[in-house]
Amino acid sequence: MARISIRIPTPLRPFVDGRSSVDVEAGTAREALARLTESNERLRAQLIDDDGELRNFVNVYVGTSNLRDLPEDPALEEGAELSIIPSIAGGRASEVIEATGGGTEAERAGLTTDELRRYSRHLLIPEVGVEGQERLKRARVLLVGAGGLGSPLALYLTAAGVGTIGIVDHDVVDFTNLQRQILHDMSSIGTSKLESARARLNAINPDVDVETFETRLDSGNALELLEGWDVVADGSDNFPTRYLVNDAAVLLGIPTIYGAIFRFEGQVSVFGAQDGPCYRCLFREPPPAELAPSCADAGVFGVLPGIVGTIQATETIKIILDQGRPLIGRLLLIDALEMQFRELSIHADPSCPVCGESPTITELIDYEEFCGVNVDRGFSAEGVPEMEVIQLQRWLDESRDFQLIDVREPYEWQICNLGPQGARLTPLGVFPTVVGELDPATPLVVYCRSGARSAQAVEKLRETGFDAINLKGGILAWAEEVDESMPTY
Amino acid sequence: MTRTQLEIGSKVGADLLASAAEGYPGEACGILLGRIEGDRRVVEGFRPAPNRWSEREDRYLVDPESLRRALAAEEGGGPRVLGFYHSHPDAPPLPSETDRELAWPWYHYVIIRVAAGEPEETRAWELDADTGRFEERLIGYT
Repeated sequence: MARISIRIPTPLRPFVDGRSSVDVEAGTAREALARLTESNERLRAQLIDDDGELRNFVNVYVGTSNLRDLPEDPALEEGAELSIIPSIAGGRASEVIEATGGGTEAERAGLTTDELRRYSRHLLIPEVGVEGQERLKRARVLLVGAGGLGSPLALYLTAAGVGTIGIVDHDVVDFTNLQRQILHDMSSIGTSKLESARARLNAINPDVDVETFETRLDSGNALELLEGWDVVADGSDNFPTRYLVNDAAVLLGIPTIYGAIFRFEGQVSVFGAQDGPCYRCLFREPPPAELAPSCADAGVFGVLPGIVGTIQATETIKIILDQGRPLIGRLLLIDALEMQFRELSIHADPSCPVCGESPTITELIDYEEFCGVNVDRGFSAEGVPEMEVIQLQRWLDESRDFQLIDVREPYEWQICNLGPQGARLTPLGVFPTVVGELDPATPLVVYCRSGARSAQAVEKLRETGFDAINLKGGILAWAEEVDESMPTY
Repeated sequence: MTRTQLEIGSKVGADLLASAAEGYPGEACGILLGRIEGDRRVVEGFRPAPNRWSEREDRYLVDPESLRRALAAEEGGGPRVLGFYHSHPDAPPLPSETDRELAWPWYHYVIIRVAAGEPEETRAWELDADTGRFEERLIGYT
């Protein structure tokens, strides 16, 4: 027996407590290897095959001689040195490419060399890798709306390489959209949002197939439009569409990435996933229409849809990749003013009329009626008398005796108002406290931005005996038809 | 998981590419030498090795004797053996199944695509011993 020193190459050092050489007592080279590996199963697996032979791609040197080249197992002298030398080999093989992510060749045949480069930062992440990128490429995501939420959704999903992106919208780009809808720019004002979106998305990633649907999503077309998509990302800005998207997606078994914004506050969740809740589990009934102002009426902090839409894009990609913990059964609440993110735990409701155990909604309904919304007017104002701005101007010209009331907020008043025409600012919130100061004997003309909030005020006023009239189209109509120099918002 | 990065000086990088292209249309191979600084491996030089896999043109086997000498020099305080390079003539610089089966952990495997005799694209890979898969390592040219 002799004392033999065995040199260990770096890759095998983790198996021998990080040592670069190990001393054993042995008479021959093979005996020395047996000693080295006898109580070290993991190291043995690296060096010796199932037949007890040295693995093909390991060389052992005795001094400067390769053990494989020696005629027989050499006897070793005291202090002899063995070196384990990794055999470094490989080769190109056009038939198979192996990289991070695994999978078979067929699964990854779809990524071109350009795509491997474009998405290289994704390929480096184990949670994405080639396989995940392939999933993204095969995925079909439908975006409802190309506005505030739809903008970051479309931009990031396109950049990330989602293969097919559908967008439903029927609007044109308005100057006031540019404060938050970063998909569009000055050059697209007045043109279709879909065409503007397509141009921008193609410029970012021409490999992505953008399918556009220039239509208002309604009960008549929703099932047809949503069918065949893997995920629906809801970037809509009103309750009827939200319920419509939810119900249609649940009926079709498609998960919905929900996002909503109001001024500085946002919500995100994933609805309609397997065993997860849907939007109706959370909100069985819509809020009264007067408590559900749109962005145009209530205002929105421009960055907020960027935050919420980006989180929606994140959740969309996680769902496609089947990675991480999506917002299923979790409602994320975002307060940009306080910069607080809170989370509410929500559950699938067995009595939910759409996704519950005995659903009562098995086909799409009239969602505008369900939400108490009159589409043309924006809010329920049926039966409320209204006047055109031209008529108001005539009343002013004739110096008729009436009171002109502005029910908007003070900051809106600062942008534009009918103060010179004798208007008095009475925000909707303080209306009940000042209503006593109004003269019931003279007619009241009430206006807001577009006529929706003022219609509510008119309804309340008439209930309490006032002769109130709504100004149709609000101050926007005034700016458009009477005073074009008036700033609008 | 530690994300190591491979750094290659631009002069060494240029020489490496030229050396890889010399073997075209056969596969060229060799040993990457340098030093380790924290998570970074800095390639300071390389040693072309004879390709001992003579039966096939689309395979390589780093001459064992060359590697033995490099490892012995490392043991004696010489430059560290950081990994290996080989060329993929007219094929993407992605590890092949053969590369993966024969790979050792820890070492970085630099693959250079040589198209029509010209070096085109270089990428680096390291075998994850736990998953048996290659993960890409960033190459920083300094």
